[in-house]
Amino acid sequence: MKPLDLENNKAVKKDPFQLPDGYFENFTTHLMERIPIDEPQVKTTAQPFKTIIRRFRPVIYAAAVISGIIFGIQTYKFQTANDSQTSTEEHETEITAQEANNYVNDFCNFARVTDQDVYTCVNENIQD
Amino acid sequence: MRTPEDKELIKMLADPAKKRAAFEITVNKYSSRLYWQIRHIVFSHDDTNDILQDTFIKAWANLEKFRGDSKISTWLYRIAINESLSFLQQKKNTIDINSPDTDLANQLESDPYFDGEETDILLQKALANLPEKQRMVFNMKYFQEMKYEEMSEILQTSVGALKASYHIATQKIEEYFNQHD
Repeated sequence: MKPLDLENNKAVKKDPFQLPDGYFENFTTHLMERIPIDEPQVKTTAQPFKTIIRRFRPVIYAAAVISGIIFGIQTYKFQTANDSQTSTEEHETEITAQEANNYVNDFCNFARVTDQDVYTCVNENIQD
Repeated sequence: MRTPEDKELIKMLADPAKKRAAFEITVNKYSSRLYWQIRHIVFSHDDTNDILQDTFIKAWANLEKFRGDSKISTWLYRIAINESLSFLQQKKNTIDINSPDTDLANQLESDPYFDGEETDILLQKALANLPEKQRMVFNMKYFQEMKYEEMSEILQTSVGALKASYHIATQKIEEYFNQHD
């Protein structure tokens, strides 16, 4: 066999592949039978609903924002009310401790016991 | 660059009322070119027929995604090449003896739709030994006589790279012939 010269060998350039007679005449028909036929009516019935949503979208967004603000304010008020109630409870606790201190002082005065005496007694107990 | 016919066809394809008729025109216009492109990749007529149909069905399904920024032929060619390469990849996954490309070339002698002499068969075997992209470049340039600019759009490769690829492909084919002389 002679060495192949692709640039000058016209015999090789002939395409050896073949196909059945009339292949392309029938191809388009067969292919178009496989292509589904679109049904645009189905789409139009869904459109009014989508159109309504699109139209009222700004209103819906505004309502959501306002609801969020109202909810935020209510939450803040609720939180603030809780905080003041807590501080009141703490104040009551302080008063109770104050009263208890007063009672101790009253007792000490009644029993003629000074703070120094109480302090000395406590220290002795610790050393024991 | 799109021709006036191409622009008109793209307009029709975008119109739901004219889409089907326009697609039929498209199939008539490009089926032959696409057929030969696919045939040179997969060799068998039956496989080519299947892939060609799949190409157009895929094109129909993705018609809305085609924005007309390239030629219709370029877009269709890309789909056809991808389908062909996927087909070869599937064959690679199922056949583990040799390369499926050389296996396909070996079947040419018994293929009723292959009318070639010894030289033609040897050329196809030499092509089957090339990397896929190099083989595509060679087929598009040698058998389909495409311009490098058009090939560049389809294969998304520079003209310079395509010229180099074609030159290397011809050298390898000549070496193959010398070895099997």
